Amino acid sequence: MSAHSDRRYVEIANLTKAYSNPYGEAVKVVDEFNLILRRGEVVSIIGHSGCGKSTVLTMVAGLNDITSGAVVLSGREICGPGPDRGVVFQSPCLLPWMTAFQNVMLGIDQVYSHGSKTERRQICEYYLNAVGLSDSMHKFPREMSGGMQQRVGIARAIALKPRMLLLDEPFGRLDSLTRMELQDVILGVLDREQITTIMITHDVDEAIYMSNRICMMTNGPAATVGQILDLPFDRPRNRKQLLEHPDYYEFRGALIAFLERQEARKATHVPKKSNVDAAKSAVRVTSPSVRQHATAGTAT
Amino acid sequence: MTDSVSTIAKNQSTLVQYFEVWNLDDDGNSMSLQDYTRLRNDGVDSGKHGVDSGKLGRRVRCGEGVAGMAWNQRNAIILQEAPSELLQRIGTQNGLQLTALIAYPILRGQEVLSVIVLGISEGPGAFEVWGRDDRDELSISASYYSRLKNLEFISRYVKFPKGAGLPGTVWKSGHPRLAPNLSSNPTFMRSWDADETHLSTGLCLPVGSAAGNSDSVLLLLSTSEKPIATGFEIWAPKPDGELESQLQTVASDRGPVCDEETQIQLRIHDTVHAAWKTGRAMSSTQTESTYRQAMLAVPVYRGREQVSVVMFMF
Repeated sequence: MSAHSDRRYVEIANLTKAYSNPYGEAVKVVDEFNLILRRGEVVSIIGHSGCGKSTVLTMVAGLNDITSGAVVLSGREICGPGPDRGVVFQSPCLLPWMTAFQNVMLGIDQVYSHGSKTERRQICEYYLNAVGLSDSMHKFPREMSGGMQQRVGIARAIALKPRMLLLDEPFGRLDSLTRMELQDVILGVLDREQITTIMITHDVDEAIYMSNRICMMTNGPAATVGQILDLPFDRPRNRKQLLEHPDYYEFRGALIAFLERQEARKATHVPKKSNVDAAKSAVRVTSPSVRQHATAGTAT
Repeated sequence: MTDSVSTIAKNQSTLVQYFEVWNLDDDGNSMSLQDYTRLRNDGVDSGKHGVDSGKLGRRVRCGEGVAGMAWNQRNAIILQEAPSELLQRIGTQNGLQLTALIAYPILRGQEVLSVIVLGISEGPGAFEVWGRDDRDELSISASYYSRLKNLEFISRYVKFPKGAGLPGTVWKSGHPRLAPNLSSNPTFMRSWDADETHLSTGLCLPVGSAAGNSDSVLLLLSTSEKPIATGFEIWAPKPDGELESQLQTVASDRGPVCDEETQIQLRIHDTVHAAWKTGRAMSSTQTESTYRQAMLAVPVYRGREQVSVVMFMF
């Protein structure tokens, strides 16, 4: 792998998702989302609920059709889901009639079908051990806490040695202590395996703690990248040291302020139907150059 | 028109206290000083109006002086504080206490046609040059901040992909953009403490040679406390018009700065059209007026196509 392709390991270019509304118009949920990840980098995407974060993630995962734009992973454009991308959702969605071991083995058997049974078992045990479940491999989901189930979900995703890991609010349903434990578990794995990762989160502190970069999304419709924050903290991370870093609260403040501003703009956003009607009349009365140059809502 | 700008008083002191217009000579080997203007609290001095007019016509070669540096680099230049000899020399020559010099080249394709040089005085405000990095994102490549500590801090770590934020929007479109009411403007993403610092208006100008693919952008962030200029306007041709007489204002934050509004409007019109016609930067001053009046017209190209004229009013 060349240095150049490591620098642009994942390229998300002009990624757009549109749905038809009741008027028969294509409404863009995500509009020209651009992001480039270096190999081994962890990037968090933050933004308000419903802004389109998960839409971006599911398009990258290949679980959601792309209206326009492209996702290129390690020099190859993605087309549908594949084992090169592991996904962890908020809910681990384990098969309830299978043990933790069997849930993880399910994917391993598919992807490493060329390996011996012993090799596949070793892989499974290695990753369950990596997420701290060496003593609970043969428990069923009903016998495990939410945190333990999520650990199984993480092990299931990383055991396939994906080129990229996609985490969609993976700690959203966990209490804060379990959440911190799991953050460290995932960071440990990511530091060891150098897996390029996109994580969706609402938690500003989590984003700062876990990421190399934080991508802030604007509110929808037509949500896109607002800005990206490059964090200067080295990995592996130490939570205590990070919290004591003199710049930590500057970054935290900037992120919260961004979200607050987006919220304020959302609050002044007119309801959808009248918005569509207003947009139609604006198109009729406003000249193209004014629409092109004027700043939305305020320029004269 | 915005609340923040409409409160600007007559003859309010501006962050820009001095500007120069340099145009490429016919032989293409040098640039000549076409005009310079000193903005005083009680009026203006202009080379065209005979003040130190011997300086007019002074030439620089590519790489010489701040104008020559912008020409050479085909990019906006920011020089600030000591030990910048250029900054000290220009400040001393003009009897001004300058804290920074900003040079902005006007490019038509690969060719630099003009360079404007702005002399900045002490006061709150920011000038940022955002350049493309190896991820195709814009990051700060040069900057000047005064009394905007939080903005200065966070800007070192902020990146804008194409289409994101004010710099990314201008990079994508290749058109200049005026952003009034920065604290609530949806294109301005770093509005963390815009209210507290009185950030009021942003003006973003593309710098580059390829259509729709600027190499960098220059962002000016002005406060209501001491604005960069008393007003900005962007003029562009009407959608179906090819004639220069059909230029129109597409964005403005200019408030009522003078009782002689009609005269000013006429002069703006003349200056804009002269800049559009020649395709080069133009300045205009009204030294005998009761009120200080100076304006600078900056043509903007998208590739080789002239798309607009940005007006600075002082």
